[in-house]
Amino acid sequence: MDHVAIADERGLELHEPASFITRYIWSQDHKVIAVQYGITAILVGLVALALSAMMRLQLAFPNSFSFIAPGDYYQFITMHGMIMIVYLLTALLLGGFGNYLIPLMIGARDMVFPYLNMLSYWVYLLSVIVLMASFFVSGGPTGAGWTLYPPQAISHGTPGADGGIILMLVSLAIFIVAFTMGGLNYVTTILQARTRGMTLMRLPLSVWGIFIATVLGLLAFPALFVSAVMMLLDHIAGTSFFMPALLSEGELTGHSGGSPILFQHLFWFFGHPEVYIVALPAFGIVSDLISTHARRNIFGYRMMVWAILAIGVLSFVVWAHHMYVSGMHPYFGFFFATTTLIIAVPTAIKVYNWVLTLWRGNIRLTVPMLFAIGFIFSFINGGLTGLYLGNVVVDLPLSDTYFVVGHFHMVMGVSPILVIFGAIYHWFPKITGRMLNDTLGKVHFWLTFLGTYAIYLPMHYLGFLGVPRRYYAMGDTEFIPESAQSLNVDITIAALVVAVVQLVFLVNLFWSLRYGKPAGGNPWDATTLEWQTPDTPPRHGNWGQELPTVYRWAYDYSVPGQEKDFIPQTVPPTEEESQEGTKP
Amino acid sequence: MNVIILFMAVLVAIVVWWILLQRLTVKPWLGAGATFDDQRPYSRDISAKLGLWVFLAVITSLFSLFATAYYMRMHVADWRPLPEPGILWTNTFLLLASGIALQISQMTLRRQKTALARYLSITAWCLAIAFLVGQWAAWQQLSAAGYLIWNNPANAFFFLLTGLHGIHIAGGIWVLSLALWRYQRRSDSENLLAIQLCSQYWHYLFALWILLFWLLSST
Ligand code: HEM
Ligand SMILES: [Cu+2]
Repeated sequence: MDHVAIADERGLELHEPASFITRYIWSQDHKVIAVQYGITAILVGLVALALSAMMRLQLAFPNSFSFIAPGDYYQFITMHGMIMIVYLLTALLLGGFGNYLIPLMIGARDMVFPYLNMLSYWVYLLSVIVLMASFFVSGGPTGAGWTLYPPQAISHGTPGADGGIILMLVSLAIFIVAFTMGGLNYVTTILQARTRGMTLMRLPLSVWGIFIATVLGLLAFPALFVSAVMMLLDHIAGTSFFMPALLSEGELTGHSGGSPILFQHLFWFFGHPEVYIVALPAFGIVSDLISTHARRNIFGYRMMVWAILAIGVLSFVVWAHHMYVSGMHPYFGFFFATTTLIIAVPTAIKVYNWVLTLWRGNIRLTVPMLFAIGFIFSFINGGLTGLYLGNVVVDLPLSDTYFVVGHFHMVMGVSPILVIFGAIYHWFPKITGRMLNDTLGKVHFWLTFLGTYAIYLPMHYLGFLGVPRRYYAMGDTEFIPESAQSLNVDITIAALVVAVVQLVFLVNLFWSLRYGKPAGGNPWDATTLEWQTPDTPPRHGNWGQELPTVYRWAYDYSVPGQEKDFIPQTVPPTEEESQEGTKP
Repeated sequence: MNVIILFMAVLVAIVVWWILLQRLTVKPWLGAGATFDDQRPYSRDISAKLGLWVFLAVITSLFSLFATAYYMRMHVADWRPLPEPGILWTNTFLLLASGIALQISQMTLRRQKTALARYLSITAWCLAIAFLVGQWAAWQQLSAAGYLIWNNPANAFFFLLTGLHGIHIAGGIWVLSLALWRYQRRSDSENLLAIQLCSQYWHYLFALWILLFWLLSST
């Protein structure tokens, strides 16, 4: 019924879905699915944000909130961390931007398997519902920490050890099924459905980032699936995969011989690549934002692609740097510290290339550009502290302190979020046909950017003092000075400001949907295919009758001797260019 | 650990090989112009097969990780190997026969013997169901003999791995059912694609079963 030819199968007609339901709800159109993913992810993200506000309140004013018991605090941490990483960032970057951008950027009419794509969203929604249900079961959600380490995750005394952890594990398993369905689509579509002339080396870096991140996800999420299933069995069926013999409340638990370390290996075999599943799409998108808004071709395109590939491979051999404290053979520690430092090389190359792209660029300080530049700052910041933590001797004293909290929020909290904001400001005009409000956007940027620095920079210092992470309250700890507490108050104020500022963003979204300035087809003068669609927002099937043909790479900005400062990918070569092209 | 490292190494080798084929060293900023002389047109069949193969890579990752966990857990002292019920050999044979039936079905379909191919696929369907029933019987025998899932990690892995493999078979049966349900309404080429995909999936799951069988009895 609503079948569209993915590529140019001539003679096939495009059937637009007729009813409201097939158009907006059971839709197989990648653009609608992308928006569904996006809205759902942002909504759960708001839950996670609210939880972080409560945690900050508790940390600043211990003993003041009777409704936050110590157990609640653990539950907040856990749900906050897991939602942010998996259900917000992964879903939004791959399910949201992946879905929206891949077909439009490679010149396809839709994903290769549209039905599977639709299913992917609904299964994702199911996983979110299961996760949210854990707030309402008796005992509440799990409080095991987002790493869910056994034995404590499923032992008595941990909050949510009955219902909460089961729902968490089930929800993760469902999420992985949803991700796999989407991921198969992204990979196959990128490899198979590119339009005429769109060679791999002409792909915009956004697509490269999403592509490799998806491959990582497809290979790494099974590790989380395996650990979730085995932990569920330990909990429900009484097996002992991970559970050692334990004495709980004076009685043997009935488990024996299981290996908690085995869980840690499996978890981090997923957990570290997950960092890059989130980071690579952000890297790709930010490259395109920087190039477009600096009116300059991306510096070192080939190196960028190779770096993405190298990071993809290396990200599978660094996982145990999360387990230095668990203890390991010194040679292993040495090995993982070395690989961790090696993976910094391609990452640093990317940072240099972004900066060199900006260098002498004709920078337009649009809102997306501001967010992109903000990303470079926060990412360098978080990346450098990561180098510290990658070394065993430095990690041991800093592990489980606020230094780590500062580090990972900078590198995988703030950085991807800034890119996501930038990307929303950048592509909102294509998605809706209207611009977001500029002034509100700038307010949003500056308060968010400075605010996050005010939150996380002092945390590094708290970490040096030895303030431990995942603590409900410090109590009368001797080595922690009075001043640490007043710093905590300041951090909380900053966090509350940042949280409230996000309302500005939401208001902007709703307001601009109705009253935003009409955008036209290509408001940023960009070269990539999604800006060359016949309609804005693009209609079902994206390209009207003919698929576009691609004649050049994605970064022909400010080409000397041209009258405009950008040449879309669909423009055939000029006379001089074709002569130049024949030269070897 | 070795299993997942091996899998990753093979995968990296494939990826590197693929990369070398992709001319990732061209300088895309030079030579604007047409580079699509050698681009093949979009093919639904190739996309579907590629999708399946990527999916098989995901399943391989999943089971390699289970195998890694198996080897790591095996070395703890409380490991008591369990006897393999003899019915597993019968099941192995059933699954093999099912795959062969699909393979022949695919070959007959290629020679336009539509009706015969359909019967062969139905046979394959029945054999696959028989495999699942057989696995269920093996579970029953083990449980009756006192090898319960919580008694020992060896038992737990047995139930877990055969169960997950069975779920994958069940998924395949579901897809094959859909293909058979729509069989008479569809063109030969559509049917051929569906049966081809199923038979590739079947062969893969048979190979996986052989490896699992070997793994589970290697203690
Ligand atoms: C304004 C935004 C945010 C604030 C104020 C905030 C605050 C916090 C706080 C107070 C903790 C608990 C620290 C502790 O007691 O150990 C925490 C933990 C965590 N946060 Fe955030 N966070 C924010 C955004 C994010 C984002 C965007 C991510 C995405 C990666 C993220 C990921 C995590 C993770 C993984 C944990 C660790 C949970 C655990 O220890 O199990 N946060 N955050
Ligand atoms: Cu890591």
